[in-house]
Amino acid sequence: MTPHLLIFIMLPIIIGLLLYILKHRLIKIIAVATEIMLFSMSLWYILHIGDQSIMTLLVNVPLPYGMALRIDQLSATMLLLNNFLFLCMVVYSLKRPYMNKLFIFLFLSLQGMINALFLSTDFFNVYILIEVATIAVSILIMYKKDSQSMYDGMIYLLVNMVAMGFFLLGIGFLYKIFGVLDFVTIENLIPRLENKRVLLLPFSLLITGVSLKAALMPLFSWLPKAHGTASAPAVVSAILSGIFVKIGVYLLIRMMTIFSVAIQLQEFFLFLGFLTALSGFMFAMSQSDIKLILAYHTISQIGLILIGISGMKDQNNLGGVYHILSHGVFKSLFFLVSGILVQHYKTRKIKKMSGLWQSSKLVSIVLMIAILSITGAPLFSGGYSKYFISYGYESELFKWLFVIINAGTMASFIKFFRVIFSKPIDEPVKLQVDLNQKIVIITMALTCILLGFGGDMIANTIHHQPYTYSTLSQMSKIPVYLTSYLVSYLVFRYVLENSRALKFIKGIELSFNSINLAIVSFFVATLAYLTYTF
Amino acid sequence: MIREIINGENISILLFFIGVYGVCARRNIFKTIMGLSIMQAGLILFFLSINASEDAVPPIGQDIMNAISVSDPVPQALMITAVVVGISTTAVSLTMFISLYHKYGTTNWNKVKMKRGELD
Repeated sequence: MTPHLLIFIMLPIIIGLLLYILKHRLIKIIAVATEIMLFSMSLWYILHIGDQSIMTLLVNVPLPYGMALRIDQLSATMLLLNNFLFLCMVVYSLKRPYMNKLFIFLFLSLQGMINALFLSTDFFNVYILIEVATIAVSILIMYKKDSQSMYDGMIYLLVNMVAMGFFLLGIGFLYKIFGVLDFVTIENLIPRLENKRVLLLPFSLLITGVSLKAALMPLFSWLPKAHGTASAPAVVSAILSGIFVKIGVYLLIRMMTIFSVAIQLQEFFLFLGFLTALSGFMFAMSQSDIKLILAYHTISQIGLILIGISGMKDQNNLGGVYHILSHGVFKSLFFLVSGILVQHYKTRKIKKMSGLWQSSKLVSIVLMIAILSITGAPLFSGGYSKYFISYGYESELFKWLFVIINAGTMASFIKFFRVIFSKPIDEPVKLQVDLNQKIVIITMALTCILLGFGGDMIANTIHHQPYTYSTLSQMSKIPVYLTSYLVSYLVFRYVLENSRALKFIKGIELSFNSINLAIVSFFVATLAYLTYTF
Repeated sequence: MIREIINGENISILLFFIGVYGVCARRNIFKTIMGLSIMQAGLILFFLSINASEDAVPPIGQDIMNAISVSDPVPQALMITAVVVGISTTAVSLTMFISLYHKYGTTNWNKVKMKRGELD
């Protein structure tokens, strides 16, 4: 029997609401039980979905008139990641002081809305879900009220609303052309359209909204503020970077498939992807706040994902989707560990943290696994996906770009190695981690290894074509990895670390008006590019 | 000629971009929120004026049988939802603005940004 798709959406919201109304002792246990159920359901779907897609009508009216939920391989993968992360986060925050009924309500409804976004087949539903999720997220960002959080939350909310305004205008133009709003019918109608030029305006409006959600190159200024803010609990930052920003990427993939008959934007996105990846790690290198480093690094990894999904080869696309999975896991792990570190050292400055190895072996090992994954070490999750992302590029220019991006990632995580291996300044204090937190970080670290070591198995489950990158060939990459790490360490240590360029980059911060101006310029540039190349 | 240009669609697109100008060029937080509301008003007008014609009758009641054209109910239904969402987002941002003002004592985006930078 197939579990109904509506459960993914309604169950977390209803349970969250019930827990908010009823004051019961077992609140937390019920929440965990719900999470486990949702996770096992998404596991069931990913194992059974195969190549096909399952469509469920929400009302007894066929598609152009009614509404439907659809699950296919891509959305099943995203659902799996989403429910896995939420399960981990709920277990992680069981004993935390902020875990009250309001938090559970907001958190679980956010999960329901993200699930709904991945299942939705209708442009307008996507718009409404993103708007409501944005409000929920901006409250979660300001959850621990402190002085900076108001500004961060407000920038986040307003900028996203402006971008969604562009998105809605795009939907309006689409409706004017087709008279329908669901993905399936529009995809079928596009080949029959006589004058395909009319699609350019709605497409660039939609792309503007979605690109801001995905934090592409000129539009990422809101992301570090929202993901790196001090006022959000570590679990919220983990969810934001792990899955919420991927909604934009997911919608980009969907739109590229829907409009692929009429509009080809692969080269444009490839260019943007490289730009995003390069600028992301440069910003990350210049920061000294542990959460901001991670937040800027999300941008760089989004760039890599974009390179993957807009690559010409099928392997590249697999790499992009796989990197969504692996980045979701290791970046959330990073944020959780950073939460533990901030609590332990009582500072957010990464230079003041030292001697982690003496304080706690377990946290050090987990942090090392996360660093190895993000820098693309062989046998870890990042290495597996980065191999496929950079697969099949022949020209020297691209090869060098990949080398630079990899080296930049390595260089910006040298600061984390220093946290582990530097000599402690004061007498090392034992780091206490609760049992449930230990379980979560160990599980996620093991998942990182599984995603690299058992990569072929998982890649075959989430992608219809069997491509392989065996353990043996992964191992042969180890010397290359070590050498490039050494080189990037030397370059970082002796050239970049105290350079003026990094200080200059650190000072760049766009104001609210400039962010909006960037949105408008992005829209104009996309439209101009489309009009010129069409 | 001018009568053809001044129709619902063109006015709504104009309104939308007036709102966009507001959020791009105004430093006052309150005025940017107003700009956002203007954008939303423009969007609602745009949806309602898509495929609208003057001789269309409402898609309900007895006259439907002998009407020449019937107006499209879908954009109207969509816009009720958009109005609700728009109002709630405006309300949330105004609430946030009040507490931001209490904290920083200014309504200027750039001054808030400077003061926030000092806090780090």
